[in-house]
Amino acid sequence: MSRDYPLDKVRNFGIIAHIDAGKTTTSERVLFYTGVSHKIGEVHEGEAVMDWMEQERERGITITSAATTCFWSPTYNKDDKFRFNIIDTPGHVDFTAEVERSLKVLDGGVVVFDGVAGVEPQSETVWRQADKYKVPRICFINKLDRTGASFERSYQSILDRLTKDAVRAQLPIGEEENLVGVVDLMKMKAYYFEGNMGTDVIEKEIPEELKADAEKYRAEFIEKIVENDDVLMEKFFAGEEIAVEDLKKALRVGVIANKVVPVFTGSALKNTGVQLVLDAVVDYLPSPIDIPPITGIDPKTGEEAIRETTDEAPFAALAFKLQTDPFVGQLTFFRVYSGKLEAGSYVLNATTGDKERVGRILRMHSNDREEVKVVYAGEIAAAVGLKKTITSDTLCDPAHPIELHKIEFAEPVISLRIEPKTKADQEKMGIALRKLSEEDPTFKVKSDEETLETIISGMGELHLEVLVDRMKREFNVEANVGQPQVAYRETITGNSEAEYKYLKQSGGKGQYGHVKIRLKPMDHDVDLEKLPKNVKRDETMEFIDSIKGGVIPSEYIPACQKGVKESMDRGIVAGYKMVDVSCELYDGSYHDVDSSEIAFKLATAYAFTEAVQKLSQ
Amino acid sequence: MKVEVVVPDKFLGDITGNLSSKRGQIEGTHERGNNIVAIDAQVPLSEMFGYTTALRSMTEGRGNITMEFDHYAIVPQNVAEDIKKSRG
Repeated sequence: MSRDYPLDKVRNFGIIAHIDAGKTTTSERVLFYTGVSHKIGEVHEGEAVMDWMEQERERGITITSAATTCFWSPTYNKDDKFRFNIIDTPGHVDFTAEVERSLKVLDGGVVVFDGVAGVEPQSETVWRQADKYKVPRICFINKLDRTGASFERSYQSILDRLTKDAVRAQLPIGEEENLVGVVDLMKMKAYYFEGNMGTDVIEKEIPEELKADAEKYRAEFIEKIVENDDVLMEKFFAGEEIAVEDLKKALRVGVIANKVVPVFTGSALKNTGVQLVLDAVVDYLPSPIDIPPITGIDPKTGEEAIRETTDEAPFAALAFKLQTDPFVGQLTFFRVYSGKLEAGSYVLNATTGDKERVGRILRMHSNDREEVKVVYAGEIAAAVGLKKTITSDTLCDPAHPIELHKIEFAEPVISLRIEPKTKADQEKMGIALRKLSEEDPTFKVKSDEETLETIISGMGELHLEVLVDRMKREFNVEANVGQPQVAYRETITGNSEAEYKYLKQSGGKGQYGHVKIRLKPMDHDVDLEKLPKNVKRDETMEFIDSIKGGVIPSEYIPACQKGVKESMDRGIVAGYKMVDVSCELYDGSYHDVDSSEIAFKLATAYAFTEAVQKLSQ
Repeated sequence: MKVEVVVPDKFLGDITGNLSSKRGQIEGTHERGNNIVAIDAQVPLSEMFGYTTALRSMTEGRGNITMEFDHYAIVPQNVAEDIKKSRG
């Protein structure tokens, strides 16, 4: 079976933007126009196809990036057909990991802006993330039907805050409630969207009042395009008319090289302009063969290796997302960079060295799935049956190993205590937290050594809130979360000494322990190799045994050290763990009958507390 | 905590002032292009709870912060007294 779509007719792209700019609304339109869904699911009604998780529908936000496949025939050529693999990403900074990994595996991006607000903080963040992975972009200024929307102002904010390479590719016809269509500056035509849900794209002449502006901005647009093409540049300066086809080609080259960012406009909610953006995706965003071949490391030699994007090359893919599916178990989303993968075959996880069998391969339509036998280079699909593969692992042909560059994720910044509500929840909570942290690389779980409480860390309060909520719904675990806290430490800053005699000799077997100790701050800059034999130290404390002539028998010395250690762990001043103390045991006495380990341990502990308290006064 | 605050440069003064009032030490600032500036600072964790929200309200929502643990430092006397009280 050969591939059903030639590679140059595949577009892997993502929709990225600030919170509430209309990413999901736009993707819903895309699904409708491409015939995947027969009814437009509205985000604000909680019915979006791409937002399938319960929390997403309730909150009206996107939490996980959903991948979906659809087909599109450009409006100007209905016989051609392209396959789109679209990823809809979340806007909140708390879910930045989703955006990061989506950008890593995408070839291009449609950046959506709110026509009222223009560039917003998260647009800046995702723009910088896209810069990092050199993802070619086109812009879509959305929501132009809203009161206060301005194409010109939004466009200027892109120039000011994001890139000087942005250029108008369209003009709106009317703004706010008068928005009726858009002008294409390339073809110099006006487009109106009529019929049910704007499905009919009507081409007309540009309205008189917009003609002057259109001419002016077209010149700007063309100047920007020809900057990257010497032949066209000459033609342009000679004043010759350049064919639309040539301009398109030059613009495509410019966009793929990240030198031009065309700006489109419309309103997804009012069904204006979305089809033309899809045409632009076809015309200007790269197909998998337009981007440079993926590079990685050959694990055997440690040398740089390259995989060409062809079906004949050895198989190489990057796992970028794990998702627990209630029906089929764990799904591993991966992007195939080269070669092909058949269901039932074995792959090598080059990151861990494990060999795994790919049971089934699924092509995802947000939460619905379609089983396929083979996936080819340039595609995005999900595998069932990979048990040892986690996010950003490389999957490859066992005969031709390669390790692709990993996705870098930010470190968590907020921590909270979490405890199960009932005893029965305890074990379930452990499993739930492990699964969630496997899915989300920015969510970490650890247990506090001091209090044995479970601490969860994530990218922000919303992030942790959503995860705790998911734990409740998907894993049925009830949990209490605490306030964020600081784990202070105690230490000493000066020298001190103390003596303590622990006595209990009131008849029968008595207790006798007598120690003299000196304390000083621990010096970390010492050569561990050259420590004298009587010094015992670990990360947090140092114990020096300076007992001469057996005034304390050597069998009681470890007990003394234990007394110090336990006092330090408990803390003296405010109950926080004490660190960096050097304690020298230099004198004492013992009793032939009454001395015991416990007596010396207690004597040292009391002496230690006294010595520390002297310093804190 | 090692803190990096990224804000549009018109908020630079407000933010550095605010960080200093949180016992923070500003270690430097650098341009990020497009009128964005990044401020590097050392600030105690106990002062940073709820900072994300505070930062957003101070910067029209355009500020961004990342922080990570750097080292332990001596708590000033007055703060130490408060901690001791709260721990009984």
